[in-house]
Amino acid sequence: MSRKPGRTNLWRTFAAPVLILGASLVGLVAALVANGPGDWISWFSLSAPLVAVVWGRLRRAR
Amino acid sequence: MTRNTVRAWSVVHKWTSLVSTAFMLMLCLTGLPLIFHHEIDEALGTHGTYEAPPLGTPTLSLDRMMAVALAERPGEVPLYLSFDEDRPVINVTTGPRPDATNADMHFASFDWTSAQPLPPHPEGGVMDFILTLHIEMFMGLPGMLFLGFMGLVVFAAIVSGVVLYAPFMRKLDFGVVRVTRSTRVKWLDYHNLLGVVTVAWLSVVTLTGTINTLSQPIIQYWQADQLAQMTAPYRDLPPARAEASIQRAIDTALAAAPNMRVQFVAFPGVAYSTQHHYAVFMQGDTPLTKHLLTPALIDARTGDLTAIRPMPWYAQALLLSGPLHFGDYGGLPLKTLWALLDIAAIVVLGSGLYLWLSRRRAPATDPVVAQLGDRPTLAPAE
Repeated sequence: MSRKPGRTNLWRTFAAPVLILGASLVGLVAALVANGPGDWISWFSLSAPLVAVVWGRLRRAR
Repeated sequence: MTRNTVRAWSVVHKWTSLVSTAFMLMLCLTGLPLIFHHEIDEALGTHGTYEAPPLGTPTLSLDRMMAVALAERPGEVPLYLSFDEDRPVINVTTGPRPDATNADMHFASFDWTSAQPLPPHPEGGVMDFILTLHIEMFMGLPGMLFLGFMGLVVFAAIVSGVVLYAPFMRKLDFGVVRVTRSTRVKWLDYHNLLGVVTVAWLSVVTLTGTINTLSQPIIQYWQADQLAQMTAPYRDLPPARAEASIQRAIDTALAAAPNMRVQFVAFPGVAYSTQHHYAVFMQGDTPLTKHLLTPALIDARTGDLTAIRPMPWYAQALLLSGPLHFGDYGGLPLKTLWALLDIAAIVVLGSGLYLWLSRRRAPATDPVVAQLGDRPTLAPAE
């Protein structure tokens, strides 16, 4: 695999946002397709954006 | 990405945001209490204090229920009959004519076990005001469609925002908020962070909102398309009145679709039915199929089944857009998440507005613009 600097950079920038996006989508759908466990998966996954913000704030700001 | 590309996307982001921010702020602010509409109504006692008997209590014939409901509204015709999910209560909507407008419709609830009318649902409260503002800004269908268009503009702002996220974050780790630099840099970082983490949720709520604004055209199209096909032999007959037994119509529909439950019945002449049928809309019993409806068309004169066919994809998309927009399908925890994400969106809008208002005249001295301008381009094209 070629390791272009630009591409590595872009992946670094978007790794966390893409994970959060995926988790959010899982969260949006889970409670729609199943009750019980589906609800729990939704609550957990859709918390990802908020957890990420809190986590970001807890890291030392530059 | 070249500098010109960044500049082009930033023009897209600026203008789509400027056009839509005021409306989006209104939608987010009014949407916040609407997430808890049901809870607020309950807390305010808007629903009355009627104690319905438990589910499973023997219920009365629906023909008798309809007779009771219509006796209270002399001169009116039945439009819709719907069923509460969690208690033996039915709701009857009547109006002066089958094509009555929403304003002319009358909604009443009855205890299905005793035919006792429930206390009337008061109208014109603050929540109704907020709801109307949110849906159509008191401008009817044009207002609704306008807000639907704004949804598309907002989506363009989201997409362009994601593109711009890359050059802004080139030198920064995810989640960093530079609080020790200028106020402007701090709010830029908050805007980027909150914006990028809410992309999925805000896109879904925005686009499902746009689909919801198209509900009237979508249902009209379904009526002209599939409903007309299903009832082609009736095309030239004069409009029918609701003569056949409604109880028998529902029994016939349920026999044709076992394992389903009736959500509502549309009477002849209303938007969800034809001039000649009871349209019995049935839902499945899983969380997903609960939102996907299958109508059975029952001849309103003979009570026989004319046709049964699930709603087409575009109508199903509309039906699923409801819960995905309201966030009412996963209990109070999901509603709470909806509210927190809505607040995050409000911060994104507010900080975006602030960043624009506080922009500098000379781009070179603006730390935010300088960050974009004086460095090599991000990812060169192949």
